[in-house]
Amino acid sequence: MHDTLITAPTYIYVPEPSYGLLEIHGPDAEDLLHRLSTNDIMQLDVGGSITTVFANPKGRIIDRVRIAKTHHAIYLYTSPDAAPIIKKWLDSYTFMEDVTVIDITEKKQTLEVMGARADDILNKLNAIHEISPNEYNQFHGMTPNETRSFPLCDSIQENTLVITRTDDPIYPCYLVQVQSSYVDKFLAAELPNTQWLSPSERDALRIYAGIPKAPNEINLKTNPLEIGLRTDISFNKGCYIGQEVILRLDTYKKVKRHLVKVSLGAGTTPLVGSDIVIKGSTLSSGRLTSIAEKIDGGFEGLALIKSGVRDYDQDFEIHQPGVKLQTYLYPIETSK
Amino acid sequence: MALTISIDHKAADKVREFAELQNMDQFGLRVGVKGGGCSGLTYVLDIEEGPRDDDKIIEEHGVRVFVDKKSYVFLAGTVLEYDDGLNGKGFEFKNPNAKSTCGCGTSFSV
Repeated sequence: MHDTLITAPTYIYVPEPSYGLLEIHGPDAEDLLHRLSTNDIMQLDVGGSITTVFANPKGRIIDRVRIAKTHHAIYLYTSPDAAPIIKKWLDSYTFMEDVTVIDITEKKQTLEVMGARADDILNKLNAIHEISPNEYNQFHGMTPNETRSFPLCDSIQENTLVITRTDDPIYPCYLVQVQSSYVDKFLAAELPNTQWLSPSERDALRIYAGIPKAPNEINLKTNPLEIGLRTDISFNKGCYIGQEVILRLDTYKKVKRHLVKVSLGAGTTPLVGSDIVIKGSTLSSGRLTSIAEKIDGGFEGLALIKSGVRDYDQDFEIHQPGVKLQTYLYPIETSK
Repeated sequence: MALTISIDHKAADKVREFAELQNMDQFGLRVGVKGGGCSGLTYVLDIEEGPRDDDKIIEEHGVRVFVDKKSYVFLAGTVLEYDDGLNGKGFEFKNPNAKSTCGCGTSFSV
């Protein structure tokens, strides 16, 4: 799949199911998010965004979210179906704080626009949304993690187009939040040189970039250090839920497994959850967590491999009845 | 387990001392919890002039204690003590609801 990126200038993906979206208001919002998640939310300025992890006291992951801050509100993009879980988590830890959390997943739709000509598509999107002329070109030159909101001509407060540059899973990538009622207009527009991604194609890009997702890698059995989310953790911000465990794992180098990329030969599609063993052995070295077919044959995947056997020169194979595929491990280059 | 929050004599004296330092004639001790800390919940202590709407108010050793209703669920039965020795910890919560506490003792889980 990633080989096609060279020829296709722009991709659009309408997440199915949609990413969860929470809108948060109140003077204590940043402080609450700061105390409940791994990253340094107090450093987040209006016009920025940051990824962070909500963990339980054992350091296991509830969800990884992207937080975007505008003048109007703070937005939390959660994994699909995770918005009610995160809302409940935030509500349960809200005592005297002045914070309101609203689940707007049904009202808004998030799209992803990515690839070398993504700017052109955003221009088209802005035109469809009738953004007032002085706002029209303001998304140009957006830097990674920047967030901008564009009030629409009808000037209704909630009709705001919010764009965040994520560069996830490819560079550049924009996360676009629009009113659900506008999506059909966008889908019907003529967008030359644009490829609409299917969920499996989008997932192949994610795997290529080595980015974990729920529930495959992000779940209550993993911690953020195991799955490569080190950059989502602030190690000097002070206490947050799960901090004691996460810090101990890091300080004493007790992370027991790591997420790696795997390349597998052609054959029967291996199942997510299959054991990965050192060639010739039956002892499990880890577990396949995500898999995608490569266009040139074979498969690419992600796997959680035990730290003691994470040897990139070693030959591995999938241990699954009826399937025998040569398997190679590769480190994930980015730490997203 | 007593379903109230109590404050011992030393802690009450210390609260009065802090209130005097802040020149407060009318005051009470705000006791509560907030989300966060390693174990999930962190104790909150503050001196405030008066109670807020819906606060539970407890008076002991001449000090009024204000507790919001949601925090009260996690604090019922708690005794607030003050340890002032050379190795003293200052204010200390003896909370029968806490299943575990973090290393520094300010955070707990239920």
